Amino acid sequence: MEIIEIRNLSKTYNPKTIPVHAVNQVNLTFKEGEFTAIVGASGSGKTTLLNMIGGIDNPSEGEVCIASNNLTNMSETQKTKFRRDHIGFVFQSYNLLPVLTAIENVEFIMEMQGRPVKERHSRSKELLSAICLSNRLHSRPGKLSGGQQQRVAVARALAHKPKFVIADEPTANLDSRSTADLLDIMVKLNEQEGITFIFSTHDQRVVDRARRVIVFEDGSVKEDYNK
Amino acid sequence: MTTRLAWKNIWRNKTRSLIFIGAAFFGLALAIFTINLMKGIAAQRLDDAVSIQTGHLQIQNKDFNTFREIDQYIADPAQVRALLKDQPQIVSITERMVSEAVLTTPENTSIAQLTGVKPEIEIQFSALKDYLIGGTFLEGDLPKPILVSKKTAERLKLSIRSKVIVTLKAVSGEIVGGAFRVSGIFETPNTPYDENNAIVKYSDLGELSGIRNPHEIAILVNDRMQLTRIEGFLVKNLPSDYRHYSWITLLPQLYAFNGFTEAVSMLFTIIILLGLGFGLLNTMNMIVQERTREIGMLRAIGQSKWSVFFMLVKESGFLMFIGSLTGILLGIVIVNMTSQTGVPLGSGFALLGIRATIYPVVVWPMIVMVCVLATILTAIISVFPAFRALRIRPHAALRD
Ligand SMILES: Nc1ncnc2c1ncn2[C@@H]1O[C@H](COP(=O)(O)OP(=O)(O)O)[C@@H](O)[C@H]1O
Ligand SMILES: [Mg+2]
Repeated sequence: MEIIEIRNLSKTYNPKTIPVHAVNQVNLTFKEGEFTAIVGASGSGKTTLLNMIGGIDNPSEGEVCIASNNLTNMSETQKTKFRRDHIGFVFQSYNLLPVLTAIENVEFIMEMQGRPVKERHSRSKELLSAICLSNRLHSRPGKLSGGQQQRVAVARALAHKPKFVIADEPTANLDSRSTADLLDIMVKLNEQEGITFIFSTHDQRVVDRARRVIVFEDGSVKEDYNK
Repeated sequence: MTTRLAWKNIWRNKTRSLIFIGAAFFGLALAIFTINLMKGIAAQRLDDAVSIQTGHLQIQNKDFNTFREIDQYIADPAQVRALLKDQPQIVSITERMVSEAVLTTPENTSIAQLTGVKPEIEIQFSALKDYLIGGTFLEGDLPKPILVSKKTAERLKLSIRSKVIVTLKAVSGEIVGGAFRVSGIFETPNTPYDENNAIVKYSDLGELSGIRNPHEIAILVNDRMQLTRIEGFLVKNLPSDYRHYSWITLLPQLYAFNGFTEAVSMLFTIIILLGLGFGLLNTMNMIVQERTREIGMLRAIGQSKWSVFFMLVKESGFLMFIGSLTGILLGIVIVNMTSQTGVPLGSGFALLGIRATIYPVVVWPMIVMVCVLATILTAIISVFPAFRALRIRPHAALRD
């Protein structure tokens, strides 16, 4: 089943001065459970595309539909709520809340949603054990390595069972060992939870682990294949 | 949830938060102390002035305040005393006789208002005893003792036990005179009072002037807030031959000065609060700036604008209230302690009628006012950085 449909999506920065066509007439669909890498050189438009899919940036043209909800027609408030309930985000620089412990970070979105404490706890513990951090439940991010922090970030993105997870260069700040560990975990969670992952990268070792690869160049899809 | 996060956030940069909290703590403690010390000064000046001069309330013959004739006395003081007997707020009552008089020595002459007092009552009632710089109040073995001011003593070349001739117009219309002896010399901070007043015994003045009745019945109360109530009572019950005056009417300058003191200490407090307000604004602006990425992340993962807004408002609130509430408490504790022991100010302000030791007075309405002002200020200030945070867009989280 298709959960994301992108039609004629374009983004032009500085349209009035020196226009930059960061994303140009892109059409794409993503199916439930896919594990997709968006690959391309720096500046090719990967971040811009992911931001529009995630509803944190508005397209100049075209539309993004997620499970039949047209993001383009939503108000800012509706989009915020939609992101909270249906999209998971993993950032290049982890972006955990430094004042919260690992488990509190994982619970954070469920807490925003007002889910019961019991449910939050059991879900977070389950995920923290899946990312092999059961022994660091109460560590703050400052006490964790970069790789461990990014695993917590993945757990946070998944905790509330979103429709899909977007990860913009999730391994860019990690060494190769941590990169491999993180990919293992993403693959495992993709399989166990059936969660759709879309991540951008320019690291060939990461591309090797993807099942679908979209090659991006100058804001357009150059190649799109399943392995 | 944002409350818990806000609370945790303020401890991220402990040094910065503690500096601000410390500033609020000491600033507010100082403000509370100052307000109450100033109130203590005002209260002390008032106590001195009303006890020496007018009382909080004064009852006179209805014409006396205008004409000041010797025969315009209170015809039936027992009736007035009976009337006042059941007023629980009244702590002290004194009856005084007043006459214009000329004081003469071989060296010089001086005009004074001569007040006849009953020493055993007056020594309780009046603070004048505290301003004696030589001799005793009207006690002792001297016949016809008189208290004169240092000013008068200098002009008339008087010292303790020296003789002074007092001349005045008796009730009969005759000019009469008598020899008095200086039993004490006083110097109050109120120079006009000193230049114009001398004190003798009620009985001595009565004998000389030929009357027995007082011209003034002065009253001290334990709670000035009750004055209007007592005045209301007097309006209803005081015989129409008499009139009553409050210290506010009789000492308008003192009343104005006290209002001024209050305004100055409030202004001082407002300046401290404004300083703290700018400190808070600066701190919170820094916080928003530093946390741009984090706030962007919160917005990206679905925290609403207003929830971010209120999280920051709560952070401002915590910073302000931890410091100021503890500071206000410390201020109250210090005021309470020093209201027993007194604050030694030294004699430097004697010219202003400020005694060397001041007992601060806890003024709850002012303390409440400070709390209200601090709250309003925090509410206003905290909005600005929080508004800045509203402009942070989610993709700020992705910038490197
Ligand atoms: N906010 C912006 N304003 C102007 N140009 C931008 C902005 N963000 C990105 N760009 C430009 O858009 C293009 C695509 O950028 P980006 O989506 O970040 O690519 P990638 O993530 O693949 O490196 C680049 O040329 C970049 O300079
Ligand atoms: Mg990028």
